[in-house]
Amino acid sequence: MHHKGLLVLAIVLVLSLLAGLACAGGQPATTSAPETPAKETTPIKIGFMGNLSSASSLSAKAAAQLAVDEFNAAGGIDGRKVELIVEDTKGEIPKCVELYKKLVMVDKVDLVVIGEKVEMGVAGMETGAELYPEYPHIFINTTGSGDVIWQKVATNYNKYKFGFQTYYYTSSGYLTVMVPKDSGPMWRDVIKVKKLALIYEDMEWTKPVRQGIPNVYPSAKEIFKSLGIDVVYESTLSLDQKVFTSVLDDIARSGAEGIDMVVGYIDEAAFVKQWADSSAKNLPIFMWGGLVGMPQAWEATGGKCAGVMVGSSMVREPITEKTVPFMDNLYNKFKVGAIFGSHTTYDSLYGYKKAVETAKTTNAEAVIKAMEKVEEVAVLGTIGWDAKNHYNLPSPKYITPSVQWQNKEMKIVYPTTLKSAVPYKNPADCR
Amino acid sequence: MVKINTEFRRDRIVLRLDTKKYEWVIEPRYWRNPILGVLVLMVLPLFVYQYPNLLTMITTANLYAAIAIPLGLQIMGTGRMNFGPQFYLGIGGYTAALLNLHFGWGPGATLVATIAVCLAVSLLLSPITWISKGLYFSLITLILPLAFLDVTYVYGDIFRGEVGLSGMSPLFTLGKVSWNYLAYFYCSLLLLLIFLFVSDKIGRSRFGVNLAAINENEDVARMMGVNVNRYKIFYYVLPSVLTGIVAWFIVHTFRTFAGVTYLPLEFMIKILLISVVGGRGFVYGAIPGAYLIVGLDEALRGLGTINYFIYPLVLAILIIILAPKEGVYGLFHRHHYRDYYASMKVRRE
Repeated sequence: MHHKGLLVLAIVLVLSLLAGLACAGGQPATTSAPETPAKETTPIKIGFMGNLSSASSLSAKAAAQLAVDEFNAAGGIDGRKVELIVEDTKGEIPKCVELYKKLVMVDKVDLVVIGEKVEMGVAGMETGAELYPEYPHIFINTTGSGDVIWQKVATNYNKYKFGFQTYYYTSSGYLTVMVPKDSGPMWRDVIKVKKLALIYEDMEWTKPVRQGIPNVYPSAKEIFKSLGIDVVYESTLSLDQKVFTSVLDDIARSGAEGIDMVVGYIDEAAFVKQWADSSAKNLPIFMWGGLVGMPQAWEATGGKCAGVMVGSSMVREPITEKTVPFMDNLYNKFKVGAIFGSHTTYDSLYGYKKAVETAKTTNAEAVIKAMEKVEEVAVLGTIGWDAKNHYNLPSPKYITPSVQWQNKEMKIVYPTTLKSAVPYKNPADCR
Repeated sequence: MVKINTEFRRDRIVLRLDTKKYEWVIEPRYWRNPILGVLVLMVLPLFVYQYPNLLTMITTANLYAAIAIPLGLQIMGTGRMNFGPQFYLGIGGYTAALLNLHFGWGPGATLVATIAVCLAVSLLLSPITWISKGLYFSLITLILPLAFLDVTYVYGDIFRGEVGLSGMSPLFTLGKVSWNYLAYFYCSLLLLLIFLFVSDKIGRSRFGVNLAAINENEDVARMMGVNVNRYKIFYYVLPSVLTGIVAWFIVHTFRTFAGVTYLPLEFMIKILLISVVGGRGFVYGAIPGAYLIVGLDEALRGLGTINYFIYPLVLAILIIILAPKEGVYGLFHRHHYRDYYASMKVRRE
């Protein structure tokens, strides 16, 4: 009785210690020995980190597992088996930092993949930069958007060269490609508008699109202007905004002939419902990403999304021979949909595989050089990374189709060169 | 001529210099348990040194405890429940990070700036402890970090919104990353122990008596001559500054800082859980509370996605069992009651 209090304290500390030790597993951390031929017969280890309570991380995790299963079924990478270690960050930066160290220092993985929010990728990359000189490894960020990952490589190559970013076409890093070669021609040649309203969500990833990056990219408005499309209205929406009617009325009054929405995280269901009942309801609308690009959007909006266009990789279009089998296998084997984050994770692993096979080693320096040159057939086109900036090769190499909701289904309307592309329809004709 | 008088008693040494009196407790029962507790924390890294992730985990536990300790002091000293101490985590973190990134200030200079900015902001906001009571105070403090979170998006050019700031300079570099991580742990432990020491000293001092009086009944304390308003400012400002210092430490050890991680309510709930499970009536409870919550989180994470159901369930059970006993530390305190331990309770009225 007398020592019960101390006992309680001791149990608390021992519990935490045991729990951590149990979860840490594996061998304790030792500094990596120089690469030797003997090591090259050991399994290649890949670490995946994500917030396993989020749908996109779960889908990305399943995609990583699918890729690793396929590698092993085909004899591994360069004859070596591949081992996947999955860690749950719970969406917390301290946990992300902790697990990154575990994967690199304890599990000694060759590659770390972070498949969740961009701030986790940034935290991981900082930890990785600290570890790289002693524990060389490769890092790929496959789900978080924005410029920060590749800009670190661009501005301090020696420190961050181990980091790569794979993302869909909405990455603002592709602004010079995305607007001039994808959405710009779509508005000008397919939908045929001359005046456009631009709507951005108030997030960091849209900032370069809004403002451009000095000496790197002009803003989206300037790019549209160079294509002969005047931006007559611009506005920013906050993430917690629920009422959009005044914005839609202002757009209708502005004389805009279409609405280009640089969004992915706003309440798109609420926006679409209000658009369908507003004075702007007959204006074509294109959303860069988000809920409306998912199959459940029809039900979520009560069918009000008819006529809405959106960038979506969830349509069954055989962009390459890998696209449809990937979607089917992911669902059949893991019961998850091929949503945001899954394509990029799967394709990144195939890109890494090709780079290791080219370099014939997992030595990080050699693999980095190989990844800067690699091109491999992927689910969404061709995977590879820019040699200087380490973002993945943009459209038309890596494609996210623009689809339109027609007859309760998402139909590809751009690029028109895709096999299942259908003609664009006015929103009124889709209702 | 200064008169010096030294007196050796059974349990303490008393030194008198003229009218001033100093005491040092020498009887083991008074200091044995705290020393044992500190020793356990100090030797813990020897067992986990080879596992840098565990070292980071217990460093994080120290930091959580270092946030919960001033929070406990603040709750008792102002007699009000603060639902947004992470506001000062944001203020301190962004101050240190911005000054380091844009002006190249080193960790020493950013520490001074962090303290100054947190001091200024908390002084400015401290009158809310006079104006609002109970639920209203809680609501105001709840809103502050959420409003600041919005500011980090609106002024994305400065705060970088959801991406946050990264690339800040490290606290130090010892040549090997594993040495760095070990040193970070001991620094976090030092921070924690300083906070504990400061809180403990306050609790035992004349300030602490006033703190207990304010916490028991503000009106009665005022009637007895306690300058309640002045004390409430002190107990609002000091913990706010201490919380800011934790943010400074996070900035220079994790080297990334994003408001979206630290400012939302979820983070505050974790700190509140640490206070409740550890023992909300005592600042000491924050340490076992933080280690328990962080250890439990790590242990249950191994269960896979089901841990998202099990973890809150276990926490709920812990709260039901431990809250009536004033948390883990309450269990200890109940069986080892000592009049020298602070025994102030959170005011229930």
